[in-house]
Amino acid sequence: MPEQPFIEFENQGSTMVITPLRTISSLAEEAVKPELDFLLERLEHLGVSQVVVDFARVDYIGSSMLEALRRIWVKVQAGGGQMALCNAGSVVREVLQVARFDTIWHLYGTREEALAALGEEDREE
Amino acid sequence: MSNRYRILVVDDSAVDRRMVGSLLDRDDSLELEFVEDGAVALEAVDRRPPDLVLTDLIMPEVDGLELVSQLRKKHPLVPVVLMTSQGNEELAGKALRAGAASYVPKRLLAFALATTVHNLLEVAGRQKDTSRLLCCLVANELTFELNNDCSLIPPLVRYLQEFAFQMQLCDEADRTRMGVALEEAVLNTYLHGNLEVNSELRGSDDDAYRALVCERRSTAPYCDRKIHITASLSPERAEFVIRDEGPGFDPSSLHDPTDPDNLDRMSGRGILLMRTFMDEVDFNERGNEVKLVKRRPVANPSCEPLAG
Repeated sequence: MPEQPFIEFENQGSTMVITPLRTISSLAEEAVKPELDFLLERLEHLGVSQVVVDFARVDYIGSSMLEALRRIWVKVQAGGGQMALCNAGSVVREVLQVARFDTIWHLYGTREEALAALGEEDREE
Repeated sequence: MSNRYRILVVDDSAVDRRMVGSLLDRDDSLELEFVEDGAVALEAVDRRPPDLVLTDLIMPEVDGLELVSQLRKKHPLVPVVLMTSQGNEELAGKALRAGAASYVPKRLLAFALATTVHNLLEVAGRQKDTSRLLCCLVANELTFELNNDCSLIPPLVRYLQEFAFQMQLCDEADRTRMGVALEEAVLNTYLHGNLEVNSELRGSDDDAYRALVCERRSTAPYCDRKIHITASLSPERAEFVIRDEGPGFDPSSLHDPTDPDNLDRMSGRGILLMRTFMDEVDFNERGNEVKLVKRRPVANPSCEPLAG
């Protein structure tokens, strides 16, 4: 039986929504690499300028997920884009806060709020 | 003294409460209590935890999902079963991920409810017995010596988490935090300690980093090194000593990963998480051994009060 993928991504309007489907443990980096590389390639190829990362499906994250977020951000930032995070449970939120990643990207309670925030900023411009 | 299992039924519909009652009260081993909403249910469980909670999913104010979430935090040994109407499968999935033990669609209650309840009561009973027994454990020391094989690290971390949780050293959230810290510590031991792969290399050349990890996994002396873990658990604290057989390092040489200038640097985030989620993190002088300590929070009672 094939294992569930680690990451799912879909376009919602002009925003790509990235959903970690299970914890990207540092110990699973070899297994995650092809998926992450493919995602990064799509970000660049499609010229995605807005990304929402939705943590609804994971209970916790570690240093590997932080690194994955950083790599996604490098791609998005290279294109002058924006990124937002949402649906972070308590431990996920703590990890993001401890790493000060919440000072780089805003944490929203729901996917809808995150999408709306990116959309609103677009309209204001 | 009653030996019956106590079931708390939570449903805002009087019709549904009666239906559940009719399905379960023929069973002499069950004692049923009925409440109309999630808020009253929370108070009832706080007063006297039942053996199982059976709840509707959609209710005003405190719904089934919120009830599951609250009970998981405060009464993790009480299983919660959801009763779902058609069209609420996604919500039911959310509730299961939030910690509900099971769900039964309302259209299948007559067929599945009694069996589901009894199966869960049996499992929950064994867990409670184990938990009660482990509350009597005054000291335990486990020593592991792993080959430098990362495939055993996740089951090791889960085992240690579960042991600490069963000893009531931590609640669900703290168990997760402890798991994050332990995983980062053991991973550091495996990668940076035994394989001597520097995370700074990863920041500059990810492919070279991975190639080096792959090469050293099969090259002596790196591949022959072991990971040593000693876990000492008592009702008041858990201490984990994790040691590698590499040359060690200087923890003070790590950059502060929270400094915005260091966002692109790879090193330090694992230790940052260890320090955040454990009460003490201490390296030995050589830097090849770390001691992590987690103490039982003062606010936690020593053991969950038993129902009945």
